[in-house]
Amino acid sequence: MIKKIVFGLALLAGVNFFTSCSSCSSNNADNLDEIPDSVANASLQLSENVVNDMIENISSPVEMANSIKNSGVGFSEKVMNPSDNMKNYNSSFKRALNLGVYSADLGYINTFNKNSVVIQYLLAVKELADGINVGQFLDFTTLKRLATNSTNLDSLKQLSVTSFNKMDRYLRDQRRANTSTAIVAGAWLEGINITCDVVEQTNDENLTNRLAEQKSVVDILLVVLDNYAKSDKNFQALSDKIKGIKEAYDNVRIMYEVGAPIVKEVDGMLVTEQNDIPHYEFTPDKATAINNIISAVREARQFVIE
Amino acid sequence: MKKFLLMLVAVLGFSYAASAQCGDELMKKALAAMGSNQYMKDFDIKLAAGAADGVSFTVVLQAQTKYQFNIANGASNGENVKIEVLDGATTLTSNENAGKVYTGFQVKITKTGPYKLKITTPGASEACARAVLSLVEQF
Repeated sequence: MIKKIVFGLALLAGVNFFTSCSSCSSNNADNLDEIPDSVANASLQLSENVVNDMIENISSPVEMANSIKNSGVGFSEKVMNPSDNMKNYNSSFKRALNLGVYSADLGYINTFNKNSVVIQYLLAVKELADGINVGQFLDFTTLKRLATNSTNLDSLKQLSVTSFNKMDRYLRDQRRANTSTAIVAGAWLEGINITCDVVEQTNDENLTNRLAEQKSVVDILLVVLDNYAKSDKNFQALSDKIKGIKEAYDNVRIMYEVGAPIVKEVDGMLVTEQNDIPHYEFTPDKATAINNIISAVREARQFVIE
Repeated sequence: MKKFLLMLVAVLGFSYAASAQCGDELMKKALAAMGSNQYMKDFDIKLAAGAADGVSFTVVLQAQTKYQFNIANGASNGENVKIEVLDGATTLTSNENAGKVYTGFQVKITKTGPYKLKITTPGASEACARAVLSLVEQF
């Protein structure tokens, strides 16, 4: 009897150990198709912690997708990277970059609740994630079920974002911050590319200002990319394209008039309103500066998705 | 054999208790408090005893956007965690105001950029918590 209990407990302990550590398990296949270790380690000028901290500084496409919806412009399938392109991405670098691109597209689709195209983009995301050995973080069956039922939109958004966050954490825990960097760069570029398209169509002032504010993100992204560019021609080529965007942003200046935050309690919730007022300066004028940014973004995005 | 059995029970018990106090249950609690906002990110907070500087995270917040932070404290925490949102070296907001501690707070941002989250306990005691960042609305 005791033996049976011991065996049962040992089994439980084993299950407990493996389930509690499921996210930190290492797949033997992980090393077969990664961006090479020489890129991950040898060229490292910045420590993993510094790179990780800097990646956190690159904005998520979630706010951008919401801003686009708020501008009143409708959904356009044409602005996204066609899901069929997925089969063209055969290297780990391209897979990681376009996993980011498709994740931003998925955020855009979810924001507009476009069930008709969501499955094909989920499939593209799953395929690319599997291709760089992080597919285990996407519960495709649940995502698909949520995507086909419009009443589950909030759950779909939440599960999509949490899946990507888990993937990102895993990559960094596994010291694959270079792969994480490529995904984040792809997602940022796709988010800003969709924004450019809407700005071009609408000239929406709010969205144009949001686009201008991405100036600070470009600087951070370049530092991270240059960290890997020294020993990898793919990162070098991407960095060159992002440098084109940075040059376009050199004609944008944002200054803040600092104000004291307003703090109040609303229905039991503490609410703080930042009170810094931005002032934007464009050289030689707003239209030219924004058009130059749009051109540079399109060139970089073309390089990523081709 | 009995000793081995006791040891296994202790290991299992400890493992499940730790998981219940600081694991997914806390995350569920923070997510429930988030309500219908758009989930953005979560922070797994583990503070060691005596770590006066606490832990910190960085997050990019966008202008013209209202965000909400919800915090779920571990059941065995001696003190609730304090979360400060710093713009550079200046504290923009925190979950403490006029001596009152909140488990959720909102912040409306007018300056896009990286912000630092500094998480501590007043007495630098050991604590665990989960915090969820969500998007409330854009202007």
